Amino acid sequence: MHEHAATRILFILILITYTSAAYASPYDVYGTGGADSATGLTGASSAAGPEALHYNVGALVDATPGFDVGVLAAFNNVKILMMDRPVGYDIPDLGADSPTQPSAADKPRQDTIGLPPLYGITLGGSADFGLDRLRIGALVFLPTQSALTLDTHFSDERERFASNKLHFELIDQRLRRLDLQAGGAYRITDWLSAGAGVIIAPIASMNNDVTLQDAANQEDAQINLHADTGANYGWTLGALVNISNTIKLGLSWRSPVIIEMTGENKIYVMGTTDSNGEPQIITQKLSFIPSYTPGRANFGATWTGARHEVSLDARYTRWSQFLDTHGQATDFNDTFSFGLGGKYKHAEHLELLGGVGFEPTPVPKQTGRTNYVDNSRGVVTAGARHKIAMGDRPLLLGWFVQLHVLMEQTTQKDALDSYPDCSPGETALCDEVPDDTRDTRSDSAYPDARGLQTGNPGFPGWTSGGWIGGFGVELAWEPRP
Amino acid sequence: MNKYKTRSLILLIGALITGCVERAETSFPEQSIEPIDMGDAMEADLGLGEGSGAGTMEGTWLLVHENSSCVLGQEQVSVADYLIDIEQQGQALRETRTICSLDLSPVLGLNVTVPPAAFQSVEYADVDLGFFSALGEGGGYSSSLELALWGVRLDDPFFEELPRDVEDARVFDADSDGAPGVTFIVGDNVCERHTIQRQLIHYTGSFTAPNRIDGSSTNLTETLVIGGTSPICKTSPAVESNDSFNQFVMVRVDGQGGAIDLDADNDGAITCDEIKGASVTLIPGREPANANCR
Repeated sequence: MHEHAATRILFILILITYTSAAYASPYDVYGTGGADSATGLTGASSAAGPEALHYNVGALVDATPGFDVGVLAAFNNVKILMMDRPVGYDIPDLGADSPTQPSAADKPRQDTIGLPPLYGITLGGSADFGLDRLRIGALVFLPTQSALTLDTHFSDERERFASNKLHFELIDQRLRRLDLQAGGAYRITDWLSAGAGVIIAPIASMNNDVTLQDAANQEDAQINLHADTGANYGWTLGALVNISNTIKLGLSWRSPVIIEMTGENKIYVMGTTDSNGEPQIITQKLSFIPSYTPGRANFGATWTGARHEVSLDARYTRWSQFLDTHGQATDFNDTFSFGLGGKYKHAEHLELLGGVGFEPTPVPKQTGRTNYVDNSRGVVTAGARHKIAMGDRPLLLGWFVQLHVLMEQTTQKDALDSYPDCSPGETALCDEVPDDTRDTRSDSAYPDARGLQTGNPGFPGWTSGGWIGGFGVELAWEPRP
Repeated sequence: MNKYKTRSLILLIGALITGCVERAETSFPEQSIEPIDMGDAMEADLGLGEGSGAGTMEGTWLLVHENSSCVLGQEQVSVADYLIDIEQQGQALRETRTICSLDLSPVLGLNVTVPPAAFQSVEYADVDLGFFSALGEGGGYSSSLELALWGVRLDDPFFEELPRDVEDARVFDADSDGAPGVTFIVGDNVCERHTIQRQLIHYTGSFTAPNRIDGSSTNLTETLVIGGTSPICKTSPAVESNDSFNQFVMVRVDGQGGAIDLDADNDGAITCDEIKGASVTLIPGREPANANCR
């Protein structure tokens, strides 16, 4: 027994050496709608249904063949409250020689108060095809408002030309998407199971031909649209190790999942020709990453007793690889997060579930040019599963509630002795009207260009926080007794 | 105990409703920029165009020209500063022009900068004379024709067609930057546009003071783009005259007749460096208005 245990631990250590993992949102935040959503978002070793595809595909072998369908809803009261701007930093109107738009022409700077609620349908199922050691499964999250939301924003002063507000970087829009996962697992020995899966993420391409007959009347454009959708693929590997009859360990690895939109606009302004006298076509490249889910490793341990089960998940997420919605690299930190969940069999037909979790923010203090907004998040979950007798084919009714508390965080930009120009690659809070901006007619520097002029919506700082509440109901059907 | 539980519950519900987030105060310091003391320069500007008059136009004048054009339906406003040395014979005027600065307003959001090397390379054809009818207020002024060739030499500057072939011997690297014609900078160094141009301008006005003439102009510009460093810079939109919005002001700056003397180094010659900034008080410039091109 000791020799077997040592072999299993060695196997786990080898697997850890080679693996890291990732979750695909929106399951990252709310779970899959099954028991995991009520047990602190744990499942690397405790998943016993299609949710294993998300946490650890190797654990799918423990799934009872069947189907489940559920609904998920999430509401929130999250906020980004902007600090009042101090006097003297507005961008003056320097006329045509101004390097940027004056502050007076901007949209009003706004707080962010609440996000739209999220509603979705969860579907899952697994089958063994008559082989006790095999499971094949699939998992689908289908948001009901929109199958795919593609939304981007700038992380710095350029956003003042668009919404002139700040955006939560890691929640909200990137969670509003179709999530489709499928995979299979096989019990290799009595103590070891392994599995592999695929994550399918939608992508889109768009190519537009635009003709402007009158450049001064750009509302009147002749546009032909060529749009296409496709899929990006992520993949996952996992293993489940039964240390003993009461202890299981799980490991999983998932690749990053990227939703991207690419394409180009070809614009022809009638009357323009190139040096050869041919119509001049201006090409604008489109390249966006509305949702990037980084690679993530997941390790879980489960202890099962007579009436209870306790699970602990620890996750390492490679946020340092994160790309923002415009595909720009960030300086995020990798994080370790955890979930702790428990199940208690209160009666033959009733199981009570509960859990807690903590997700530290990967976003460093935004004291410079960028305004990535995120908060560390504490999670409390609860729920229950009721077995409803229907002959020899029981129906399982489950429900869960979640409260995510976004730890309040205040960010303020660093005041510097002098401010660099807003050139590409600059990371410090930067001057949109460089001090050496000159009036070419008088050959004199603009007095109003001295010091710092910025329209950065995140200047001088903000406070963010709030809460997200989630709940869901699931019905599971097991076709065989 | 029950009271404590009720209070806790109320606090929890209140916290959930409000989101528990409070707006923070900034400690970022306010910024105050001290105004610049304009000193003598301002006083000097106040004298432009003033004075009793020298009884002649001979001497050195500053001409500021605000020109309106329509490009792709958008108005482009240019402001140019010239130094004009005038020789007078009777009431006829031989005018020698030097362009000191040229600013163009953006078109389709793109600024076009004309580097000094480009406008300093302009060659003027001496084709006729200007004249005036009287030197007092209300007296008329008609300039000699300003016929400027940018980056191209023509045997017949009036009637000869601009060459379209960049290899044509008449096209030359006027601003000595290695590219044919003259080079304009588009955007914030987005790209370079290589072009040749023929420009005809005639100024007509009247004396509003003994040392000042106000009036309007007639402009005809032919531009050919012969190359560029990116597709946007190779674009060659038509430039249409929009003369009803043109204006110019011309003031004596050589100190004669009570006029201001901008010869700062007293070397007897006024240079472009010495007139920098002076023209802003004469024509401050304006934002383009696309309605002017409808």
